[in-house]
Amino acid sequence: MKPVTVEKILLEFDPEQGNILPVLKRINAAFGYVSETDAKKMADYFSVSLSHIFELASFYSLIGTKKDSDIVIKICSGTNCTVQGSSCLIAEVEKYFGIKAGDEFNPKVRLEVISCLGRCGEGPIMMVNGRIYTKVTVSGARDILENME
Amino acid sequence: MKIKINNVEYSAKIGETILDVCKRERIRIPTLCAYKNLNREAVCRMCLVEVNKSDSLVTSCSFKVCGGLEVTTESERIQKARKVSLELLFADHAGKCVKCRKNRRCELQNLAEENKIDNFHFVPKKDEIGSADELDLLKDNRSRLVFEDNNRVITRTTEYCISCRRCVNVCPTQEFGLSRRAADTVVGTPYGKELDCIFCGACVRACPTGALTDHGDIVKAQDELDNLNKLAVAIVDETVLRNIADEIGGLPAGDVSGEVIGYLHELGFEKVFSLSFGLGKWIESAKEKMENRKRPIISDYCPSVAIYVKKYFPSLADNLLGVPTPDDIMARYIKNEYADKEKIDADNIVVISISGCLAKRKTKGRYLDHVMSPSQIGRMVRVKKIGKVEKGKFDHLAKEDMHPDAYSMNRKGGVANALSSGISDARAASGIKDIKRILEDMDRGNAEYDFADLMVCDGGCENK
Amino acid sequence: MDNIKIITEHWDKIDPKKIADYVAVGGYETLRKFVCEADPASALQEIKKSGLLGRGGAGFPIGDKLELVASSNKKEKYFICNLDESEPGTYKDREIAKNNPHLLIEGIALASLIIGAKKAFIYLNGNYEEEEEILECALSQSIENGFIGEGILGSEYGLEMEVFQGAGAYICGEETALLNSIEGRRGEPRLRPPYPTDKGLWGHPTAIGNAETVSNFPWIIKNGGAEYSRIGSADSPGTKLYTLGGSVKNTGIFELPTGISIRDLIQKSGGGMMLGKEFWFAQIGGASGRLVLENELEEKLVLKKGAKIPLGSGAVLVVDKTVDIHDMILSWTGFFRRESCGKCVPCREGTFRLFEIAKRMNNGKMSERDKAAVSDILWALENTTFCPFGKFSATAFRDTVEKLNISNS
Repeated sequence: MKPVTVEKILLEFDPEQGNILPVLKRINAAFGYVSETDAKKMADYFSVSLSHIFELASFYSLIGTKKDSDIVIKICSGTNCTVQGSSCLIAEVEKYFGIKAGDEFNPKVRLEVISCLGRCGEGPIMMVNGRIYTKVTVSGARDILENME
Repeated sequence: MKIKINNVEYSAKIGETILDVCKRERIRIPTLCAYKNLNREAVCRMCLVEVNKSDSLVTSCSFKVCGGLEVTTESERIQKARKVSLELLFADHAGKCVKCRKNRRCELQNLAEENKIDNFHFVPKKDEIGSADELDLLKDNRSRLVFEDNNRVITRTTEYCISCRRCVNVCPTQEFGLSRRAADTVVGTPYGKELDCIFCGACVRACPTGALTDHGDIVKAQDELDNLNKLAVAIVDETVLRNIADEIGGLPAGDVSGEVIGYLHELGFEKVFSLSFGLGKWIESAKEKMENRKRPIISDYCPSVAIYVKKYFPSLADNLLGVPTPDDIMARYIKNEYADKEKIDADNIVVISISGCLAKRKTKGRYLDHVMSPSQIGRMVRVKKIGKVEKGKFDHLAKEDMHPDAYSMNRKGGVANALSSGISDARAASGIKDIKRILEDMDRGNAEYDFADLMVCDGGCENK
Repeated sequence: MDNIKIITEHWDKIDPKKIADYVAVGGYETLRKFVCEADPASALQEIKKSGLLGRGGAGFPIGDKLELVASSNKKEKYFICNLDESEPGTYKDREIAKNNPHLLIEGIALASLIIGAKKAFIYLNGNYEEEEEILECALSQSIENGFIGEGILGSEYGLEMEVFQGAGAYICGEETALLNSIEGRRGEPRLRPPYPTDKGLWGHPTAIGNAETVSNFPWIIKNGGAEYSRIGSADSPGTKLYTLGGSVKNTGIFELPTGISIRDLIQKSGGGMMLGKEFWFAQIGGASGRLVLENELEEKLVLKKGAKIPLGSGAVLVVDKTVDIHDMILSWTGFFRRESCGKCVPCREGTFRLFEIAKRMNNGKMSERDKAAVSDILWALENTTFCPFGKFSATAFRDTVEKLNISNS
């Protein structure tokens, strides 16, 4: 399997403004985030300033600008999920790891409270390292976290 | 067309905004994000007005005039809108003005006082904070704090930033951008890198609050002035005498050089020289240098140009004139010839140049100790609580002549004019857009002229 | 008429990955007829006659919007299907893409050709990865079969269509923020005027329609606008995909005429409250929607402007008395604090402070200062923000304060 590089990704797109967001998403998907080096290459390719690329990358929730923690847990706190008990889930995960939701400085684990994923019929929703779990209960969450590797 | 503002008829042109008309007719509308001729962002919401064309309040900076428009610029609704916006902004500033560099010079502070806001409407006062988790809530706010002060020119802190976007839009090399979203939005550099720009200072001039200020420790500077073992020397760029006077405040119109020099003496400057000596020497030096310089020559009278060329057009670095700034030339003279003549040890002389130019702080040589701004002088005067002063006079370095072209060099094309004897064909440009075009021309070998008079600040040097 | 299913008719009956299934039930026939007759003006009239209002939340008459772009004599025009769907509690558009993507594609094609656009985008929620695959598959099959692309079905019409995925920002559901997003900018709303129908994508006239709205076009053009206008409520006709959620027996998507009462939706489709749960209030339209109490359940669900309880996106959330109101308040205020674009002062700072106050409320530590602050923040959000997001972020909180009896210690 040929390794993916930023250069290869860039070459798949014309250097047009409308391709900046799709390229950011591709780089994010390939490497987990958009680094300063990669952002610089993008800035050169699209003839925009580095500031512009960073403005975009940092605006959108699904694009990261630095390496994320080893374990990333996201729990939806939308209205439907809240009615179905997501706040208990959040408290449970905080207790389990001894962390606070929103803390971005722990390299081992990060808990993020997110907005609606559009799975309101199957809530509460919890994502662990990108994998979606539905109808998660407090004990179910504990199971998921304990069995995760 | 005719429109009505506060029940009075005014003429207006198609394409104008309500704010344009009000500015022209001197009708006061407060603004925070509008700046000079930058594109209007309409984000501060200070300029909201009532119009007959809409039930909601509209921003006068963006609402274009139309036939039959009737505008009201003051009402209870408008005043409430301003008050709440200011109070929301002030939540990050409450209680901090006294220590801030922009105290009494801050647009936010001015508006806050004018509108008699409650500074602590949205944030608890220190003695109201009960528990640790309340302190946590305040800390949530601090997580967006970015502080940078390592580059000798610009001090940056997001603690005071109101995200007005002026700096983002005014920077000629797009160093700034917004990062993150919602209340986490910070205005700053990508990936938090340290500023490594051309230090033209446009951002500092544009910033309405203390988020971007010019670097410098006035306490340290005052200590050096108070030191009886040191001879403190001021070099004053005469084009900023009025700026210094305005910063000090309370001085009459017209020629204020006497009063300003008086204040400088009270601060502790033993000698006050005019930059004109340095300007004359600069012209001499430049004329000599030009004889052997690679053509076309790029004037680096503007120190920001020198930084820009070396960074973005390194192949043209050899075309730079390569003469130190007039301030540097003077400082060197003071610490050598003047020190010898007066039999003072150069180590015991402190030379401080007072100028509106920020880039000089980045390029200054070792003889010049500090470059300070009129606003820093103003702050030092206030800290020392100096009252009335005796008028003073400029001191003179040995036989200096005011070269007739000296201060006119600050105008666009002025340097080429002053050095005209050595030039056959010159181009003048101000602002990075035009400068870039000229340099790209030169790089491609298309330049038919032999001298490029370039100034980074739009319209010519800020010290006009 | 009450049982008519315009959008969900073939759900669970056709394979979304097989275009032949869709064609077999009459799919793309309307498009075929359209390119043969080549009379976009008539088709536009049908959409106007139908009285169809936007189903993304704003409720704007889509016929008027299409007309503004159709009547422009500019050459370059665009149509964008808004499938950003980030309103909490709403997932109807996702289901459309998942169950009958071709209906959506046909609707987009019709709208684009009516207004004279040569390129259309489907702006898809960045989280909808499964749906992205389905749409891409459907698009390529559509192109293979000549329904999209150059020379549609051998006619002079040509249309390029592409899926553009968002990257996780609720505000990008707002039309001008959506445009900025496609143009490689921060998803911040733009000043209006100019409106997108005048200066939209890259400065060209653009019509933006919600996925559910667009999915109605094939039926309307086939059966006529007058027929559509007879369905449901007279001033906001048609069927609506209601997303019912919360403490009812049956949650899910229900296609029903507009103008039904909230009670009917809860009882007839939702099967009433879950066992042991007592009705407290319902929120209509998602996190930005109004709250209704038991005594308001007879209100009819309609989209028209000025309705007492606007239907918005069609999400109906039933909250029972065991739910902690502070959890709901934190959910609402947290959502808007996270999703504000951050551009204008009252919204950026207001949503932030409101969330702080909500946290203090939750801890029982709301101060007198907080109470005064809430009133001012809500006012500022409702009256001084750059875009309607401000109003959305204030609605639920205000209704909570005014309608629900919660004690603030």
